[in-house]
Amino acid sequence: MVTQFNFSSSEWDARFGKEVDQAVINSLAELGGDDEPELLLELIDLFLEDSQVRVAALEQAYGDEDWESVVLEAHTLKGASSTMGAQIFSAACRVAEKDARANGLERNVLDQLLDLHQRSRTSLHLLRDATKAMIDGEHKKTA
Amino acid sequence: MEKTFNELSLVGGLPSSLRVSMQLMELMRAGERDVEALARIVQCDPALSLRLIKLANQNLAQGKGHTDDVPTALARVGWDAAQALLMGFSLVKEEWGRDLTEFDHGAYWLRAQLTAQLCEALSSAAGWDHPQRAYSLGLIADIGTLTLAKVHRARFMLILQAQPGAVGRARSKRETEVLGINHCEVSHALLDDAGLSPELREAVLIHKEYDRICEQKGDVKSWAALLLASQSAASMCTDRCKDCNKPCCAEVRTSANDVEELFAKCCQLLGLTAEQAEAARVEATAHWTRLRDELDTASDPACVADINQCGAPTEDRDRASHPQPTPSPSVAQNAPARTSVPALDQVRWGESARILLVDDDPLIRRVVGAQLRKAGNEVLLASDGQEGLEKALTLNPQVVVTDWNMPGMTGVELCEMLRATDVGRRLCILMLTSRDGEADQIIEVLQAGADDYVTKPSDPGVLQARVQAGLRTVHMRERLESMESARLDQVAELGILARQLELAALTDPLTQLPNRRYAMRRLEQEWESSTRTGQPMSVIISDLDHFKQINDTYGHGGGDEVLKEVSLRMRAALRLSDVLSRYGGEEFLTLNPASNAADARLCAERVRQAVAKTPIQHGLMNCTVTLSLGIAERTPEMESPEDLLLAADQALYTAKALGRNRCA
Repeated sequence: MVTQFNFSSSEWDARFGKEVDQAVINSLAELGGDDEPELLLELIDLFLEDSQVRVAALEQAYGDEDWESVVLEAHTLKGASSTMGAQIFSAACRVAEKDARANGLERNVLDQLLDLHQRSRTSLHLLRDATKAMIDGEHKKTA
Repeated sequence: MEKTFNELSLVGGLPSSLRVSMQLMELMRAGERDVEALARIVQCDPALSLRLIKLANQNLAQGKGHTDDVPTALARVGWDAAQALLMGFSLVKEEWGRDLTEFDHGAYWLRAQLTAQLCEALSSAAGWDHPQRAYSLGLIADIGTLTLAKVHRARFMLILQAQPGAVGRARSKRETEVLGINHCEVSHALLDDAGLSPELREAVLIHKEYDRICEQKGDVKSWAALLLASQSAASMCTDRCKDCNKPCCAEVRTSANDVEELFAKCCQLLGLTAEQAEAARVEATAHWTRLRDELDTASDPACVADINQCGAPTEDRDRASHPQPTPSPSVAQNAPARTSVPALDQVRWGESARILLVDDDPLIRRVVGAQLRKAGNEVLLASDGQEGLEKALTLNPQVVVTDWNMPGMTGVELCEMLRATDVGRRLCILMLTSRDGEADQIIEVLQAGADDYVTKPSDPGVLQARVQAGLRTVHMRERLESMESARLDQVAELGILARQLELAALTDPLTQLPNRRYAMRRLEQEWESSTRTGQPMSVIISDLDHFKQINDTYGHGGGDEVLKEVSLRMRAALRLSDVLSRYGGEEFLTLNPASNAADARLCAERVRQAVAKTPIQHGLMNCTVTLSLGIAERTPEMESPEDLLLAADQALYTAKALGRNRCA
């Protein structure tokens, strides 16, 4: 049985926040299917690990006014976050990428991006725990 | 007897090494038109070198001399023509690996380079001009082996299996039996086709036989001795590291002593002292060893098979390349979906494609990789443009799905590089772009050579639909290619058949000597060559004495046995360059190229004695047989080959009149 979340919109937001999209998370869980039940966990971990590094690199590049690197990091973060269903953070990345392409990025845009990143992480951590619990529950049931 | 390599038209895409091809693409990408760097790269690869030299020689008729080396060829054809030609390189494909397990391409390339280095070093030590000519000759001298491996895959593998490690004359013999031609003759044909200087072509043809080299004169002798010396030294080197398990050691060659002796004898022919020869050998070998060690650490064509087995590095290894078609459980029915996501069981349709996914983001690789795999495809992974390029060229994917924005080589650059090569033009390329892709982005992607694009985050249904759409063209191309390849295999077989027929038409079935038809054709050629070079030429007509009596006494069967035995004795008494043929019933014609009457008389006398010395025994037959021989040298008064034959005939008449068993 594939792990799937089945919350109403308000229930989901209350548990994990608006930062992560339930449908996308479910589609990723389904992608794992029966042969890779832990794919969703793996993807969350990959994202948590990789986005940490990339956001740090982006901040560094901003300090150095290295716009080319800002564009590259923001672009990659944009793709990864939308793949994970972190749509709001992804939108912030898109704005940052666009601005940096024009060789400028307002401090408040960056701050907003950093803030959304943290909030997405919090959501994903909660989601990770919930997913783990569901998978373990499945294991117990089958055992 | 000279063989025709009918399969010449099939030689087109001889494979090059992956490393050289990658360097070539890197240089083209840099866009600096650095001719010296280009020459250095091309000179590492026999197939590319020969193609470039051939291009340079295409306008031979315009009065320019022959081009024999890569730098000269490059200077002659110019950058643009060279680039257009070189980007059409071929690589060792997977099917090669499966069909030709006995042929080690990596070892072949390394050995070609070692031979080239040795040729250059030895020719410099001998004080010759143009070390580059020597280098290029060494590099391409064994191109016939690569050609046979490509054109006659299956048969050539049988040859290698029957005699593992057999090289030189042992393998040549087997090749002639199976294919009607050996690798030296094929090399000769290819060098001829590429327009190399005649002396180099001739040297390649004869260089495996030391005795034949000794019979030669002038440049052909020097070049052939240089080649044999270099190849012997190469064998000494590859034999010595027999235990290290490196690709260069895969072939076990003739015993080291033979090779060392051959090296010493050939260096003597080149006029080198033992010390000079050894110094040159050590220098070239050391140079090559450094190169080989560099190759060991860099990506090596020999490793292609390994990469392929692994599929991808372990961290993102293709976990289920052929997933079982289990029906996917449906999505939670009540989920308040904010984004519509199609059920995965609707995604799994169409035919399975072999897909290379290139993305620098591990998360995207994981997700898109899983999407493609769950849709029933086989997925290979690459984490940047460079790796993507290598795998696209060597692992035979049908579809490449690449990210657009990557550090280093971008997706657009990857696309452009792939489309510049013959191999890359056959792929379907899909580009992953961000959702806010605008018109100019889409245009750029398609202009770079992508077939289509997919927006990120990718929808598995759309992705699979685009893959299937791309696959339709790929399949059509594959069908055409497999028809073409079947046709080419047939042409290759016909080439062997045609050679066997030609050989039969020119061979005397009783004695297995060339027949009169061949002798006349060859006489014309030698006559022209003697006209051109001013070298003398002679012929000998030999006639068995009292052959009618032998037939009357022992019957026609006995007469046939005598003819067979006499032809064997004659052949053994002649030089390799002499052409012996059965001219008529009991008459033999010998052509002695580059010989005056005195040379020919020595030959004739040796032949006479070899036949008369001991009686011929066969069954109850025991009879002494003698020959009368008429010798003639070409003189300025003679207008045609017929005049020369007439003179020999008159000499034969004299020998008969003087009492037979003699030369006149």
